[in-house]
Amino acid sequence: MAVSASLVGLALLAGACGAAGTPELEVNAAQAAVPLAGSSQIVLAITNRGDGDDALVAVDTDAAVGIELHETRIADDRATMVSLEEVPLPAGETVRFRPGGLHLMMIAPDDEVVLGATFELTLRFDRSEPITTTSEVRDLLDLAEDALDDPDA
Amino acid sequence: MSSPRSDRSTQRPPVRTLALLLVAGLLAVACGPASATAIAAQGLEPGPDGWRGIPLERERTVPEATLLDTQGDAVALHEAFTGTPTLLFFGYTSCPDICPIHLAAIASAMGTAGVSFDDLDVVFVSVDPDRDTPERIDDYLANFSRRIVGLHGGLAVVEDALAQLDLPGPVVEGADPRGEGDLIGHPAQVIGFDADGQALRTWPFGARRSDWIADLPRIVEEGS
Repeated sequence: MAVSASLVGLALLAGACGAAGTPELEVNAAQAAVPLAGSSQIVLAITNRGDGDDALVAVDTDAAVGIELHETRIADDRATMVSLEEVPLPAGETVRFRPGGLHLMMIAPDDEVVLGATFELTLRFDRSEPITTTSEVRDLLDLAEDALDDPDA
Repeated sequence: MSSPRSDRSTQRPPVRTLALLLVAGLLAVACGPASATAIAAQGLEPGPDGWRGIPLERERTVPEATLLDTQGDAVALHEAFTGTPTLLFFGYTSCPDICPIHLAAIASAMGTAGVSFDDLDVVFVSVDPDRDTPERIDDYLANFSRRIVGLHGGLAVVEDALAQLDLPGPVVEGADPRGEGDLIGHPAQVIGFDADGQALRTWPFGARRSDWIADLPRIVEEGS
């Protein structure tokens, strides 16, 4: 009975693609910019190789007061930044955090976040287990140039 | 940490999980890999005349507006920034993404291209008069080059200068998570003027260091 009930429910959910399967997340090497005026941004990519959707809901680190999920939007010649509650990670897609788009903004990074240093950050998801990864600290322009050079990085 | 949705998934009975997997397989066709998050910032294509910067749709000139430099001296833009080609950018020091990348790219390319600040004025105008004190503007610009001119003024003056350039005025976008005010929307592009104060080109966000290395000598050569 439980099975058929699920099937009916899932048939109805078919519009909400990927809500049914299991997400399998992979995080590539994170890079943070040398802090400037009390903030820094982190570049990374999350690939969901599974068949279920997930969402990034929080990022923690001991190296800053906090990390916010942000998106820079450019429209009609104006750049604005919005804070996001969560970032969807649809099944089969790679979501990239980098300059000019989605980014992880470090709020008031600690003194040890300097060029060449590394620190840990933990990504927390709606469905998957948290993933802890290491971020290296790079020059902002080098980081931005490399991130924009390689759209698939 | 866990949301209601994740609680549900961890408590799901095994039989139902199997069914979920089965149906997920059926859905896989509809859920194939989609295009990645788009970003329109892969560098600028050189135009037929070789410039990377984009021509303006209509003539614009250095705005007639008087701001203050970080020493507190009045600076009439249309007087101070004619006689030498000028790059003009409107931003704010708490800006985490667009502003520092534009400024870092320009400052870096100045060195590489061998273009002197004596031959090209680079001007940063704050759109955030509440927070951007002269000291803060100086400290911020020192991260890129102490030769970048930092200006500030009342919001009405800044908005008037932007309007003269057909650029959108600053908008408050939401609370800054650092608790020190608001995030502010601002023009995303840099505008370059010749020595007569006529706008030559604009560079949107996405202009790369290599774009600036190509264009900076042109600005000085054709704009002087």
